Amino acid sequence: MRVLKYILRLMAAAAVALLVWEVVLENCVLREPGGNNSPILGRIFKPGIYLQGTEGYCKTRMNSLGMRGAEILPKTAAEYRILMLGDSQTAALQVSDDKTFVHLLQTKLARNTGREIRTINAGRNGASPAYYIHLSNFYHSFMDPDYVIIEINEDFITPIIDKTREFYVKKEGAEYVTVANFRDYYLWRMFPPLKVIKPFVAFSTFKIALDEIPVRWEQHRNHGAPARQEGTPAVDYADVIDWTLKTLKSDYPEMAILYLTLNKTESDMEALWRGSANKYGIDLVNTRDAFSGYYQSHLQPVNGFYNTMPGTGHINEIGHAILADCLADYFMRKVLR
Amino acid sequence: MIFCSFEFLIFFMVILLLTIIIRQNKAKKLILLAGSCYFYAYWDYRFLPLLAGLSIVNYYTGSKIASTQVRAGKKRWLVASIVFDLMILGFFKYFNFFVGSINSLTLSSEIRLPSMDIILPIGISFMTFEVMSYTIDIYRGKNKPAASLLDLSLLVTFFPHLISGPILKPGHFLPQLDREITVRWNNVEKGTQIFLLGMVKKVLVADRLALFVDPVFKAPQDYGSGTVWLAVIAYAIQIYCDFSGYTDMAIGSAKCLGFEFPPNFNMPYISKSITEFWRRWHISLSTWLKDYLYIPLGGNRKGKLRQYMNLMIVMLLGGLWHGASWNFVIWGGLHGLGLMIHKLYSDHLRPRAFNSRPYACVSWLLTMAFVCVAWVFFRSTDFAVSFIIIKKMFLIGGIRGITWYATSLFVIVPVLIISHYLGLKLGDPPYVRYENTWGCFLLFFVLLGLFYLAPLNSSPFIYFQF
Repeated sequence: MRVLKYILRLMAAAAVALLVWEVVLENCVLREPGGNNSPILGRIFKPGIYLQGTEGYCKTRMNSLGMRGAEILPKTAAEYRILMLGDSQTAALQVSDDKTFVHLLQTKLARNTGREIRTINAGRNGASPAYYIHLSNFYHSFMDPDYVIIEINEDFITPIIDKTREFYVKKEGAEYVTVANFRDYYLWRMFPPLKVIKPFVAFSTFKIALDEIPVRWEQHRNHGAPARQEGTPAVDYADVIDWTLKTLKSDYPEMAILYLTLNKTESDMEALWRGSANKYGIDLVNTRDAFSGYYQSHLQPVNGFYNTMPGTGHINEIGHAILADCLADYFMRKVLR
Repeated sequence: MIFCSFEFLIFFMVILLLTIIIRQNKAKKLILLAGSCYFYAYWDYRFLPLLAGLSIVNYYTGSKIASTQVRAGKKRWLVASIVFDLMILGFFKYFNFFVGSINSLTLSSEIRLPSMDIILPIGISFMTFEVMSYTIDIYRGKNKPAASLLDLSLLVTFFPHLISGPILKPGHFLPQLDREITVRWNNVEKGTQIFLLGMVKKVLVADRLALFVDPVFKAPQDYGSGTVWLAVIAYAIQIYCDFSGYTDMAIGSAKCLGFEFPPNFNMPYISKSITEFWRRWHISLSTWLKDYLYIPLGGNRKGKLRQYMNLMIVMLLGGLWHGASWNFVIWGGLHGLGLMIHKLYSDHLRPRAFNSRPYACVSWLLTMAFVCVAWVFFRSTDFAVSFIIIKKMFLIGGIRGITWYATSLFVIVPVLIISHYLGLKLGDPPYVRYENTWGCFLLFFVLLGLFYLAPLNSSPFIYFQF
């Protein structure tokens, strides 16, 4: 009886400790409190929740499509609508709403042209051009953009063909196709009986534990080396890039590429993107000169935050302001003149 | 194997369980010795003979010192043991350093001394100091020789202090082996709490600050003066939490097994002078240096000038003990200089009436600034980096650079100030009992916090390299 009482006391103490941590994590630390499965978009953030990035300090509200910002309303007659597609650099959960390049671009263009300009931030963590190709019909029908900016960054080729992503590109015979890979949480796939704990995943304490245990275990096994990337076969990068840009241009005829790079010189991969963009007549706005010019004159990096490390990770407020300038300049010179 | 790892948890549970189950004291000692050897071999089994050699030679010479009646004969055995210990330390730790230093001094000469690929056995400095104090204490008549080779081997290899101390005094540890080794529940309660406190210091404070400190010290030229100052302050906190965290884990795990280790830190950053700092920082090392180096050199018994010189010699050697690099020598030299100046000031200049609060504040600030500047040499990889940092700190030749006000520092500093204040007020830390729900809650809360808040990439303990 005494032992049973002690066990009960232990369990109660553990439950209270978890509860306290739940409150702490939910309000201070939590990064991604789960999501919903959309039949079209795959796994998206829950509508209406507030997200806090691990970098930076801001909280961002998600709309019903799991994208940051307000609900997307039907386009008005006078409205010029620009759709921004990209990964976490575009979603920019690290930067507050009024400081993202998407928002700043809208303000700048509206001021410069006097027109009703609306930019839509469809940036999505972990996205790649495979997502934009696969979902092009959805974006056209639901958002009806006049112009599309597709953000591509230095290492985009791996996510395009990564079989563990929700949308990826694979080769079928001589042709490439996009594949929707709607997956359940990887833990359920690995250990289906564990599905019984699925309701608990909504809690931050369980979510973080389930996310971090495999990472820590993998690190432990690899003696601190980063976890290896699975599902990335050896492919002909030039071929994939060429197909990707050709398909994007055919899906979004009015488009340009925002090429995000922090490298001082052009890499082989960048040359491939540039070459294919030229081939298909796609404008490519490259950020190198603007980013490095700012660093040279101000000695402040355009990525990184005080709670991470300047010069690493996602673009910060400075970088977003520069991006907005680059894009505003592009629109004024080539699109809206 | 490091304390904050899953392997250590399993290892420690097995050792604890065996120590509880086994009744015979000698068998318990054997288990602890075997476990300690496994603990060390987990890093590199090839150095186990070195541990055995240190134990056997010092046990033998210690017995000889005790049994020899003639003073000169005792001295010969003492010298033999010290020469052996210093040869081991010198070969593994300083051979390449001296060869490199001589080669750099004779750059113009054709003759180059060859260096060797020597692996530094972890904890070698701690082990050699312990066995040296063992034979010296027997020579001085302070201690008797260990009851058996097993006891001395345990002094050398006992896993909680094997790698990064604290440096155990034989007179403190060996008598504990004469008693029955007993695992008591209240010791386990206290021990686990001390261990967890150390883990919090290491994982939540030191490892998180490392994410700020490492990049700045790697490329200080890229950062602004304010950021460099913050990084130096952060390093001061990091090294304290890293090393004292390790010590707490050592003290805690030893306590669970029924052993008492002396404290190694006593809130060093509240010191108002360098002298006070060394009474509070790495106490086991400063005590060792005082007992076995400063006093034999004459201490304060041979006049003021000699005392100042002795302080400088002790600190230079203390710096060199930390690592075979001129940066450590400079760090030691700076502290020697600080001790000399403080001694000189206390002896001749300090007005007796100066005990006011503002005076205390200024003293604290100066001490902290001095300690922080000295840490620059301790942490930097070479002189070039040290001088870049010093120049940035003192606004010489350009203060511009990346501005990075690391959030972690602004969270940790207030926590540290509050905990030091509470430490001052409370004296001995309070412990909770696991019998009641409050105690269990705190235990789970800390364990979960370590899991949720720990950075994914843990840094190795800084003092492992010594």
